[in-house]
Amino acid sequence: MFSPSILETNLLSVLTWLPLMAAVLLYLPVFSPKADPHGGRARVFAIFAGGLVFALSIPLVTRFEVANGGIQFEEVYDWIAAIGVRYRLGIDGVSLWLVMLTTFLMPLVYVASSSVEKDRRGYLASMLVLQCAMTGTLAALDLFLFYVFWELMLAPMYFIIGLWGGKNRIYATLKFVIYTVVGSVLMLLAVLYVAWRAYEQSIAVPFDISLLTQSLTLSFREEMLIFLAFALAFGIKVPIFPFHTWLPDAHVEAPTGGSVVLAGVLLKMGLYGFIRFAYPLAPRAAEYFGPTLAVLAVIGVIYGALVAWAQSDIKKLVAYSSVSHLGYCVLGMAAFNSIATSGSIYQMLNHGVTTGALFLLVGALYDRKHTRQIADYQGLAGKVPVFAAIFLIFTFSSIALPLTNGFVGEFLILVGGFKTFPILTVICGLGVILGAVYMLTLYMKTCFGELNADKNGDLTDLNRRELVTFAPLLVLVFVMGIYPQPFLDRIEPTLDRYFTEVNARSERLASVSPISAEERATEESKDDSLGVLNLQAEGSLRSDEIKLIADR
Amino acid sequence: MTGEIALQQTVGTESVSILQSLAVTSPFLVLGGGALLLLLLSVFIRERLSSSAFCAVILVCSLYALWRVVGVGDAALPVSAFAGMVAIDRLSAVLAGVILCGALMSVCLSAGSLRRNGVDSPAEYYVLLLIATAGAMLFCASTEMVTLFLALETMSMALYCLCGSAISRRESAESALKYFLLGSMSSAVMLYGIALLYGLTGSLSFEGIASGLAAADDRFLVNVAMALTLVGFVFKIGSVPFHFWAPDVYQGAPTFVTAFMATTIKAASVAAFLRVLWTVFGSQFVFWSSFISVTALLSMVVGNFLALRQRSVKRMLAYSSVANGGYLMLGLLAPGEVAGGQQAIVYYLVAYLLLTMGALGVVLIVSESNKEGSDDIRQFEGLRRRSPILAGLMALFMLGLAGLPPGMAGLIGKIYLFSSAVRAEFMGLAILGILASVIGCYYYLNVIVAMYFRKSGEQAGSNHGNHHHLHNQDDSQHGDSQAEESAFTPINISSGRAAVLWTCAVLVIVLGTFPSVIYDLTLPRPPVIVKVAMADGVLE
Repeated sequence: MFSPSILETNLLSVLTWLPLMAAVLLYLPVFSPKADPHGGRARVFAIFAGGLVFALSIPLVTRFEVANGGIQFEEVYDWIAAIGVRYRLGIDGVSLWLVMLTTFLMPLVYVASSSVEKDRRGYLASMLVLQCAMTGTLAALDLFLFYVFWELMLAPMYFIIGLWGGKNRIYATLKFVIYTVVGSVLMLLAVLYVAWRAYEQSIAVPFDISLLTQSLTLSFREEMLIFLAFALAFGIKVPIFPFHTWLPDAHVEAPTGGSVVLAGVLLKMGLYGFIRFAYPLAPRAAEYFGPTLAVLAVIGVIYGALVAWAQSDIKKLVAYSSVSHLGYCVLGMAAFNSIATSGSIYQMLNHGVTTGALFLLVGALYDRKHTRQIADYQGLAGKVPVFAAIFLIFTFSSIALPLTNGFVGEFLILVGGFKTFPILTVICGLGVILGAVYMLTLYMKTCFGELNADKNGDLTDLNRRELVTFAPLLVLVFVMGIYPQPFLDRIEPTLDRYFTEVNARSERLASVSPISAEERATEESKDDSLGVLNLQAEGSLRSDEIKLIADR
Repeated sequence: MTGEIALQQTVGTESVSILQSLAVTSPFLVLGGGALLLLLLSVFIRERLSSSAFCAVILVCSLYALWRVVGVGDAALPVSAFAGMVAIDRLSAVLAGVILCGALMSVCLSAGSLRRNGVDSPAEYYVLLLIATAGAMLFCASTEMVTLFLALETMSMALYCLCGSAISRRESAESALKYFLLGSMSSAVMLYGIALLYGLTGSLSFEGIASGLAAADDRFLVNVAMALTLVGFVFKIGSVPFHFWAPDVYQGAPTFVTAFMATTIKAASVAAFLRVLWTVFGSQFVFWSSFISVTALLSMVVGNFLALRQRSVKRMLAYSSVANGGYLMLGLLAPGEVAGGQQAIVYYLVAYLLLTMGALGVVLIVSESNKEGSDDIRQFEGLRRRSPILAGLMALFMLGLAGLPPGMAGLIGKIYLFSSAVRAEFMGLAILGILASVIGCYYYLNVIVAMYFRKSGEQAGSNHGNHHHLHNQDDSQHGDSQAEESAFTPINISSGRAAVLWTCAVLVIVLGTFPSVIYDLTLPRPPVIVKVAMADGVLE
């Protein structure tokens, strides 16, 4: 299994399926409740597995060809031949860092699992399955494979919130599932529709995103429908403003590790989906809906910040701050230029690091005092100085102070966003101020002032295990804040290529099936005739492709 | 549909001898002979006879006979027997295998616990089961109307008795009576349709009727005859508007009978329906496709909505079976190799068999573990504590039925069906089907909620074991420790049942990961060539 050659040729598969294998191995008798009553062994094993996956994922960065903006580490196998679904994995500069973020955050979550008392083995197994699903989602380049991994993320998260969550966990988990399922069904419809159109236009592999981007022809109306379906599915996941109500509930009820994964990686799947699938498949619709998305994003930024300001529960505050921060990312994506989008991707990474750390900090407090109310804490700086110092650094990172990672991301987004949506970006800038207001208020209320000796006199500072968890995150805050170039170097060539491709597709679609506002009704027939012409023009190419398949 | 064309040729030649016919039909004969033998043995050596083991052996023998008929090589298929009354082609061979495996699983589920579920005469029970299995296999292998009807009646009569086999329980008798009254009514309607078809075409063989129908000019009579025949099938599948028997019969019958009925009988009925629609009524696609689309749509919507309100898990699964009948009908609308309806149906039938068999197996175990023998959703509460393995398996089956990973077979099966409908240009129906299946997520996940997230309401022993659960820091501490007490009401799973459940679970994942294994079974040619043919067709 671990022969070097498989690491050369199938690295992404190894990274995807190794956690799943580890999850299965957790059900060996060695880890049974009798042999391992507190789940200590299970935790060590999960940390080992997570660490191994992270170590194996490092070659993704080192072997990544920086100047090459295309798909790398590609793997293609036939899967469901009858409908043309293939097992195709691969990453480019966009997914590279998100995969790395996943493999990096998950071991920390396994380390932090020591606060889970109830059935730790089950918890770790769910997390490992989740890691498999997340990596797969980020690496899948086949629409159906993507859908399967996307859906596979649902079940473990459902159990993590429902079994290891707080008081209202059943309500929160049902809300989470219903929102997600509604979104993913729309996505499934869009995927099947796209595949059907591709099949009609005899595109050799009707689920392959690269081939679809190159040669799928859609009318403007079809683009709109497909984009809306995708946007709803991904928008719920991000979440974009009116669809965000599941997030605070899920965050508050989820155990600490669940919140870290949710904020750290799961939310990014929505944005990633937009960038990878929705924009390339429906570029004209994306352009059409760009301003709408940007407005919703800015509403999210301001609204999230204001609601966060009003919270009395620390975890809920951080949850709403996520809504606000992801608003920036959506704005950057909607601005649709290289600077803003790279800022958006960078901000996703930052948010994963910073908010993940904030949730871990809240979890550390909760483990000690079993309360998350701001009012229950005061003057912590004197009692637990290390905690307060680390909290301060992540607070700064969250409000995007220069030299921290948050600054780079938000700066890029605002600069890029200003090119496309000047007014909205200025309003969004206000959100930056609001962000400082609610985070600093939180810090002030909890860390400064008189220590309440009755309540918190016995509070202990961070222990070694927790310090180990925070150390890599702290390092990243500064590395990404001071020297972002290695990260951006790998994102930019991909984005250059991406924008060329998407714009070329947009132009091609505009020439093949132009938008005729008055002639909507007759659009269909025109579209078909043009489609036939197009087929004849590309007939020779197609038959070559078909021969290739037949040969195989 | 090369199968049918080749069939026609064999039917024409009278060279098939009786011996050959007997050899071809040996899988059915083994079952019938085995049933009679079991009946005789039960009279003479009742005390020393393990009827379940005997029944299982007969089923395995029949599987072996089937393998001998089929396994000679692909060139041998299709083979027909008795002057074209029965034929084993790819579809019926695969379906016969599926039906036999399903019957074998239901035997494993029932073994050793018949009396506990109120069935007092094991030997008769297994005799009836064998007869029903033989009928079901013959139902999808018959190529002539009288054989078809006889097979249907053989299957149904045995089933009516099986439903009422728990003599001491009222619900069982009620379910048998309901099923019998409605079933015989629908059989009569179907027989009337067959009679009209014979009157119209002067033939009883499928090919004869098909060519006769294509030439017939009395549209009205043709449509009436077809409609009457279709009604019989729709009743057997349990689709709306002929579904009213399903919930009561499924709920009242002993659970292993329900498992047998929901899986194998459904498979046989759908396959026979497919053959009749595509072969006999092939030329009348326009007429029956509208009929089937309406039925399919109603089944998907009504089945899913009614399942939402059920407290009894068996009844919920009955409505889910109505809804699944609707999905399967989407495949019926997609004849031909390009659309791939047949392969999609076969795949989904296998997936549905595994998922439902597994789910009903768990229901059986859970309802036996409480005093009332109830399958109310409340009995599933806290199952995770009582038996984590059982809860895990049930969760997998429920996710599969809901079409969510990791229950992969269910997901891929639905995708096959929906995309075959899309290829046959029933886009709207496929969209509605997908939307209807979302409703399914709710009630399937509801079972998971009960098993995993709710505390058991039962009060029970004083065992406080497993202390690490007590560290739970919720405010629900109190409720938790209460659940802890009832958490260790032991659940015994016999090895036969465990084998069935594990087989189902493993196959759900394996077949979902490598779907072509099943899908390609009924493909007449390798899929690659089909793809080229398709592409050429579009390019022209």
